[in-house]
Amino acid sequence: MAEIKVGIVRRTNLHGGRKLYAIGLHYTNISEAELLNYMQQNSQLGKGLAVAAVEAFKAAFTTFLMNGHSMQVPYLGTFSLTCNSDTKKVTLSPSSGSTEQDKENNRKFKRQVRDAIENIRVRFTPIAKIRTSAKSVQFKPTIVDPDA
Amino acid sequence: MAKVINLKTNVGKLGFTISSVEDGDTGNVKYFARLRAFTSLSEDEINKWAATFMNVSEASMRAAFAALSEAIEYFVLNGHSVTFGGIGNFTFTTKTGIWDEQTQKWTSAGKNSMDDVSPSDIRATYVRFRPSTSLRNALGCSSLVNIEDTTFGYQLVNQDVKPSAGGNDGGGGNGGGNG
Repeated sequence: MAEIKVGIVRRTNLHGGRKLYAIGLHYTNISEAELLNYMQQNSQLGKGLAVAAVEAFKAAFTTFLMNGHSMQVPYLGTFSLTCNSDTKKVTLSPSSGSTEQDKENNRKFKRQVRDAIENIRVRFTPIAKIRTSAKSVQFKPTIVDPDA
Repeated sequence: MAKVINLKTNVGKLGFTISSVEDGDTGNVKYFARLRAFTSLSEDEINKWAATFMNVSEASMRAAFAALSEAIEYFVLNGHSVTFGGIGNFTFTTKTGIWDEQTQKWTSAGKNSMDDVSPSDIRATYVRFRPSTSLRNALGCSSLVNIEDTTFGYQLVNQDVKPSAGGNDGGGGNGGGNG
């Protein structure tokens, strides 16, 4: 059964007050080498296949995601791109006519919309199995000084 | 025989569409952009491509992905982060809240005393992916193209991208296609 330790953190809430909240504690950062080690020990995979999975996963990012595609990685989930868009930066409206002036206006309008894009980021949606496992995580209380 | 996947894309660019929404207060129409994927690649297509890329069988590649997913799930849901160099890391986040039966809503779980804080205040756990700084910077510098104005087609052969003849939709190829 998956288990995460719980600590306490002090945060400012929406009303400006300082309150104490429970928080999951992060232990360590697992490197690729440690991950590969675990994969070899806990599955029937040889080192070559374990490396293949990691390398293919990383290469898929540069091959697909960075070129504007979304991808479903087997047994993991879907990676796609999302962004924010500042509507205040778009002051023009599209033209419905077909004159040269309308076409030029539409070009400027699309350029404005494009330039209003900000904060492009990766969105990850895990598969249902991982989401279900996350729901059944046990939390183990531990005492952590929130002011430390 | 080389495997190909038909992709509709401009290499190195991200696609967006223009959407609009009416402001409820003023009645003005506001325009904004949404990123839209050129192609949504399925698990099968990613597996086929990965098997070709790494020169292994598709069945072996699928087993390898299953082991990778199991390892990530194990570490992350036991409180660790898993880092992939140059790409990012998988980690977990938690959300606190207390269910109010009267209002039938989640309310804040903030407490004044350490003794009152409890693990049961945590209402949800999520597995997140956080891209690396280099990936975020690369995305921030990406060129953007209006997807409605772009109809180029490309064929992906192994990891090489070759333009198809003509302008519209990628020409017929071997193996799975996705337009």
